[in-house]
Amino acid sequence: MKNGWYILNYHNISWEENIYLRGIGGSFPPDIFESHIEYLSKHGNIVSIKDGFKKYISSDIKEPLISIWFDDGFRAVRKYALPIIEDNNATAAISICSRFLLKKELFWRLKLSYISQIDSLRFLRGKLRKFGYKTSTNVNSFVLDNFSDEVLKAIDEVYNDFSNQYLRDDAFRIFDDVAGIKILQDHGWTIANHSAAHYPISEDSYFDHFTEEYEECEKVIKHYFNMDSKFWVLPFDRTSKRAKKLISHFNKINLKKRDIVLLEDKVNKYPELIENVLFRIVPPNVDGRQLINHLNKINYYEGGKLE
Amino acid sequence: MKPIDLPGQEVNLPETDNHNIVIVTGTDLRHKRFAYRLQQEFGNLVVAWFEIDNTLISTNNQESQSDNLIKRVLSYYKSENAFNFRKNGIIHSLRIIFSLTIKKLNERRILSQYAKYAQNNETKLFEKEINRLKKYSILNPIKIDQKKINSSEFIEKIEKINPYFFITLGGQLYGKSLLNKIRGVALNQHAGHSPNLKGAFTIEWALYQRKINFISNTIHITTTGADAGPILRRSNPCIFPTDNIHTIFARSVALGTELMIEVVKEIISNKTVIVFKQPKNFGMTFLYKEFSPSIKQSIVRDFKSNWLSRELERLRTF
Repeated sequence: MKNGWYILNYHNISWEENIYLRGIGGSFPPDIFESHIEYLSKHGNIVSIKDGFKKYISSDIKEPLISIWFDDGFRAVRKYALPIIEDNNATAAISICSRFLLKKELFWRLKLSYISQIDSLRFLRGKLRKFGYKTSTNVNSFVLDNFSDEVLKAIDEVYNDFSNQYLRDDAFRIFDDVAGIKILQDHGWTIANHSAAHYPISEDSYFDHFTEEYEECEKVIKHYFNMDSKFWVLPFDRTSKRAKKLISHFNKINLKKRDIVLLEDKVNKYPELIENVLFRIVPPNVDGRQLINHLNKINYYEGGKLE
Repeated sequence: MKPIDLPGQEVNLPETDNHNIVIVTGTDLRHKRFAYRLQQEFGNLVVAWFEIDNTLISTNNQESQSDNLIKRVLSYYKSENAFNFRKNGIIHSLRIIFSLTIKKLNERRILSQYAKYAQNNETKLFEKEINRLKKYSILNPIKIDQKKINSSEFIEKIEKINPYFFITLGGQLYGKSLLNKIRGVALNQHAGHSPNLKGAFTIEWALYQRKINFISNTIHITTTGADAGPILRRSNPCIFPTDNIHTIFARSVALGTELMIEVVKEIISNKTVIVFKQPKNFGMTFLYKEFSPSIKQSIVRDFKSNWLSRELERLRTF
């Protein structure tokens, strides 16, 4: 592996992948995650976000540094990933969405997964037609490309029609709560802002809500964890769909000198090339050995437009 | 997760200040993980751990086991008309006996290889975690012969302990006399999707039927029927595209262990729980002997043709 700072982005680490998650993917079983950590520790130095960031900013990276970053605030991360990471004398980062944390709103993609797994997509397709949906189109992509409050409402309607209250309440068990995230904070983990409800706010379809979504989550982080977050993590971050004004808008409102965290397979090495931006790598569905092969092929960010 | 396809009803469990737990497991690594996790979570509440050890056979039993084997072999040949010398002629009968013997030995080889691969995969999945969990163990397992589970001797032992929870993974069916001695509730972990798939090898049957959503683990109240009691939790394991039959099974059991912990915690804090009754005369209950080598070979063929990774991809493309 090249010398640089590799930030690996995971979501859920769990023995469970129920119908709320099966349609999304992105979960790793604990034994596979442990295999990743085992191989990563043999090929580089697993460091906290704080330490990795410090070395990155001061251009002081003389070996492959690896940090682990979890998105969305899944409860199972604390249960299964925390002991594995601690066994390697490291800490990680977790990006939280405030409305999932406080059980105010379930992640809309989980509702979509649920709908897809119980043969209710046909009802959703019917509702999406008025927004231009055609049967030949992939529902997932269509929803992201045409995201709006009305589309969200259509998903909610179908989800509510085909679930009941105790199931909807039970679904929140997938996400960690304030007490759980505080435990991670006490263990030295970095808490990051992943916006209030994981809408595609970096894309044109919902970009107008960028600031309010992050600020809502920021208030919750301040209130419950007594801190200002250092990192704003983009939900989804489909590289080709980033709003043109994303980085400039972020820099304009970034009074607290935060970093925006993207999802693009790049190694962080040259802070002078781009200010206040970090890149993260998505591990593919492979074991530890193959993960190293994958990371060996990833290049540095060497300049160029992000939007 | 709670099942979405069955009606729920509230059930009140007995109030108590003493939530002591008895565990009954087999001897494989997945069973040890189960027992260690329960001890990790519930500490001194776990007061006994019985391990069903099929190698525990008394001399009398050994003799009667070999008698039984001879009887079974003779009966098998008889059922295939191998001894019908008058009809087949001696040479042909000998040919039949020979080919039946080869067939049976081959079936045994396949099943014994199957068990060996299962063990190897379990070791790969669980060994490191079990080494971490061992420090939470507060009890040594008490070995017990499977045939003695419903004996008056064992029932007396349980009566003396007077557990609130009787928690099982593996083993045979538990009789009414034993279950009636449990103060609170008997819970079983079934590696399968009740009520649709009950009994033995239900993960394999889900794979054979190519129904990924029936690869599940069910936590239910133990009744005298196989995996048929009211359900408290049922969910699906995290399946990896490069998984095989054995890793999928092991992951299902690991998931079930976590669901069991969730249920026990819920019952300890709240005696009113929602249970989901299984409809009678619904689904299938599979016997051990029904999982023949040819079924196993069909599943293996599917895996060799990358069915699993394609199916997982299909479920995520909508």
